[in-house]
Amino acid sequence: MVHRYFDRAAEKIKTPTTSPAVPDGYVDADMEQTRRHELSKRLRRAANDSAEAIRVEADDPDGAQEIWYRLFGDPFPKPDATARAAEVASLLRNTGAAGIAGGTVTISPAGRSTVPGRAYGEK
Amino acid sequence: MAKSKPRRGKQPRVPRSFWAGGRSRTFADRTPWLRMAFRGSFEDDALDRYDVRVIKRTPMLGRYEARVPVRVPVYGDRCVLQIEIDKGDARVTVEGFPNELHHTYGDNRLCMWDPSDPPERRWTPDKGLLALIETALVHLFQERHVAVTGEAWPGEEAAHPPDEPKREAPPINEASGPAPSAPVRAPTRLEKAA
Repeated sequence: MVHRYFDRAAEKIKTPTTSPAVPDGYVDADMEQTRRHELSKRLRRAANDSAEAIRVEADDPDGAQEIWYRLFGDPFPKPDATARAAEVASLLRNTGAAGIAGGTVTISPAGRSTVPGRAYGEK
Repeated sequence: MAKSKPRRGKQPRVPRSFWAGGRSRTFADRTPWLRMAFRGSFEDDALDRYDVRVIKRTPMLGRYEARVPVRVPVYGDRCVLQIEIDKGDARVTVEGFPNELHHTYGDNRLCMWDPSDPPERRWTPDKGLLALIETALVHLFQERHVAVTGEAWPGEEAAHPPDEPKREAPPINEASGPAPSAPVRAPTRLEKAA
């Protein structure tokens, strides 16, 4: 599973990585600790996003595809934004709220709930 | 029958003040923003999912400021949320949004809920930073969808009375009540003499 890869990488990157192909034994010996910490946080976010993509995939395959596209970029098939936007807008009109998974809105009930506020302010 | 002696030792603590309904008034009731001090429940979920860059964190004063780079759901435009929290009131401003906002207090400050709505329809600190960011994400999707398609607002809107004067953005700590006035004190002997 992809999220397990990211999960392990988030831990492994905190310490130097050994390799027999490198004369001094480490492939990233010169990486500073702050950089390791920053990359570990990015990998942790990727692990959470991919776990959420897997969780919503059954109910919202287009939503899961959007999360994968955000993670991997152009090599991954780009989701159809028009159809998906209409689907999400319809959900918001009917229920007043939508769930969130992997940093995007999802029509899956597995998404995290948000505050069902009524938009206000000057138009 | 001999009177029983009063029990010595630790007596149950009686709260000094009570709400009108008889509920005991605890320190936590008086300082809801202090829940922000417990980082585990307030921001850890958000730090694990978004690139939250904390600018100011003074939980004992109820203040929190952060910038969060995000992408508009579905449409994918990149922008930055500027979050300011002061004693339970949140102000979320978006930078770099590709079009003019539909529901805003001006200066791209998002207007995500009616300030007069009950707490379950507003963000409160006990819901955590993650809920605030993700509610803002849904709002950004709605804004972008209206701009791209020209359709009506996808979701609920608070009704404006037709004769309502132009409403200003509420100050960031309006919900925490008016500023306390200076305590009344008895005049000093010098003041009496004057």
